[in-house]
Amino acid sequence: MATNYVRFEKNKKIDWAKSENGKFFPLSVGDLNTREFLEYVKSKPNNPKSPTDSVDEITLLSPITAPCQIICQGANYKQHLIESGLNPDEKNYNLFFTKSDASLSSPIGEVIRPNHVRLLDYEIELGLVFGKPITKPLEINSFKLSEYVSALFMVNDISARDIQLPQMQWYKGKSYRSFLPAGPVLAVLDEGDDSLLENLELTLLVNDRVRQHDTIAGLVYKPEETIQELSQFCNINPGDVLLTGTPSGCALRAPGKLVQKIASLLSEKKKWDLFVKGQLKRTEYLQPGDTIRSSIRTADRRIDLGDQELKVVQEK
Amino acid sequence: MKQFISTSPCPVRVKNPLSKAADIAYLRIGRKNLKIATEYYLDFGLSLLEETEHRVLFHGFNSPYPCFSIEKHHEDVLLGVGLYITSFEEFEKLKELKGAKFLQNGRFGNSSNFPIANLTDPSGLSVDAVLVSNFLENLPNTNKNQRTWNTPNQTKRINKPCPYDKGAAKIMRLGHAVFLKQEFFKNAQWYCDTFGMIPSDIQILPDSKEPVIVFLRCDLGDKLTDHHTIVIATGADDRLEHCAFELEDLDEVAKGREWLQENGWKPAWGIGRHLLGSQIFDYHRDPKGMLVEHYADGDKFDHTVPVGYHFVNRKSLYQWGQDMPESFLDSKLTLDKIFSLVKGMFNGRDIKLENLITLKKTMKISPRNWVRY
Repeated sequence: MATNYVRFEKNKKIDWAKSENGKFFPLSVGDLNTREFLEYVKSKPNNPKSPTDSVDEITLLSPITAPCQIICQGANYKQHLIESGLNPDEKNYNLFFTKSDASLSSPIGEVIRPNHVRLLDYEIELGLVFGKPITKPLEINSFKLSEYVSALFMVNDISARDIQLPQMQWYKGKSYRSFLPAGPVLAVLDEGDDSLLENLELTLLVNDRVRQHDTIAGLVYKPEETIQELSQFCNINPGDVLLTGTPSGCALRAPGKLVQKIASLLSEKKKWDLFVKGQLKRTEYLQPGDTIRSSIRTADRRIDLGDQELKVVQEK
Repeated sequence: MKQFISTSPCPVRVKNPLSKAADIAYLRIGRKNLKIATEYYLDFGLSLLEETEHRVLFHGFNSPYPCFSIEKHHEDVLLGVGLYITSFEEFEKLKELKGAKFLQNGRFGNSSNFPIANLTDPSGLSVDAVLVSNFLENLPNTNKNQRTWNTPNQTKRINKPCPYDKGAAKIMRLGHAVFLKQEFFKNAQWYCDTFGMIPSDIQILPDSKEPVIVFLRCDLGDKLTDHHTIVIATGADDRLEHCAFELEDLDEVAKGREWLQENGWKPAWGIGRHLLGSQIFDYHRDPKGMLVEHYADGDKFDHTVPVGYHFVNRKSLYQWGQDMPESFLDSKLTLDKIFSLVKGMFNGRDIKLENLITLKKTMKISPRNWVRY
């Protein structure tokens, strides 16, 4: 069974803690980065005795620290593909993109909507933390997931759709500060946990209404397959992360087939103007004051990545 | 592509509920025929506490207080539910609620004369808040023939075969009640607001992601409580879907099943192990067809365990066990239910027919297509 850790701040000092039965047991290891912390966990399994005095006194931080490489998969759940206007039978490639590590933020806190952004969207995702470098192409079937992946965590891949799509700027549209709330839990895997992954359930609610829910079993490209492909064109270091894509239920919705056909006859500018106008009619996009809550856990709670609670605020 | 938007919020735990219920106290069931009902529930394993012409009170081995009351009634229906409250201040707040009735000497005379604040939940069900500070003080365990199990690593039963006691299951206590409600959210949130209940698991429909079932537990702080004490589920009418009684262990569950079947009563579904709540379960039907459950080894949670969300389907009901019979979920639209539905709609109730239809369809799909009888 995975062991859960959190990174936190108390009295302006950063530390890590073991998380068990709703209590946090500080490790007094100081401000280690994710890679250093994973090494620490490997080398010194230590069992802290006393929990923090009060959970209210601590601020939970992202267990993923910058600098790190953040690799993301797009359109990796079948239903989300359809929603995004892609035909699951025609799409035969694993879609990769990256986010800036400046977007990493606290799991309990705020998502800031930049002043020029109107189409702010949410995407719950399972994140994998690499624990071993990859510097050459890997053969599929030549490795087990747990050989390269040391831990799991939850993220919300926040996107400014009116930058990402009309300007074709995925990196920018998905990288504003506070656009990657991560954690709270870093679940360090044990041997045999691989088989539990399929049962992980992802849930995201906006203002207590369920918007996204699916299980990891719904992934189109599974982690092993994805890591094998990544190794063909990408070097990976311990502490780097892979975000595995989001289930259906985002605010973004592709226009119907007919509208798409007509739009293809229009100029690029006209087409995207219409796109933004159409999306603005959708009430699902995040507004200041909205509350986003999300969780990833198995029904039997053998793996539990904790809860995120985020408030959407307007940039000041 | 059709667009699905969940329109109902999920019930949530609140910071300052009016009270914090500590456990379920009792259920009150109306029956036209008291005699046959009494006969059944004795075979089911409840202990007789008091019997009059108008009412039969039962208790479990864990408590001297009534946990099940069968009352003479012109209809076979659920009459009410009781929940234990331990704080006098909270009790006063409930008493002051609009429409609340105060029963100074309780409902059951000498068998349990604790003060009661009688409320009505949004579906019209009578809910007693019973003020008892020491209801958790269990009776001493009188079981002299405690069973011992041999395991591959530890032999506890030496030179002794495993004895089997024939008879009714030994019911320790009433564990939980599952209510069907026409208005899901309104009722579920009411139990959170009024009795401080915490959602343990919420089940949602595929596509629309509408919440339709919530498992609610009591908030005892860092003390442990059952995974669920009250369950609210979307239904065509307002009624008790089933109630469940806790037994000591798996042997006791099997013993109860043997006894009921030997005596010619109808089984419903079992034995198996639930997924949400983990209980080993065995369901039966009382003479009026009402579902009743024997269970053992359920999950115990404190207040720190966060809510889990799951698609509603038959797979989410059990980890192992006999495949669920088609007849188990009473999803037939009888004339009675259609009448209730129409009445509810005329009374301006927020009934989501689409949810009922989807729920029925979803629950039809067996997760175990390899099981053949």
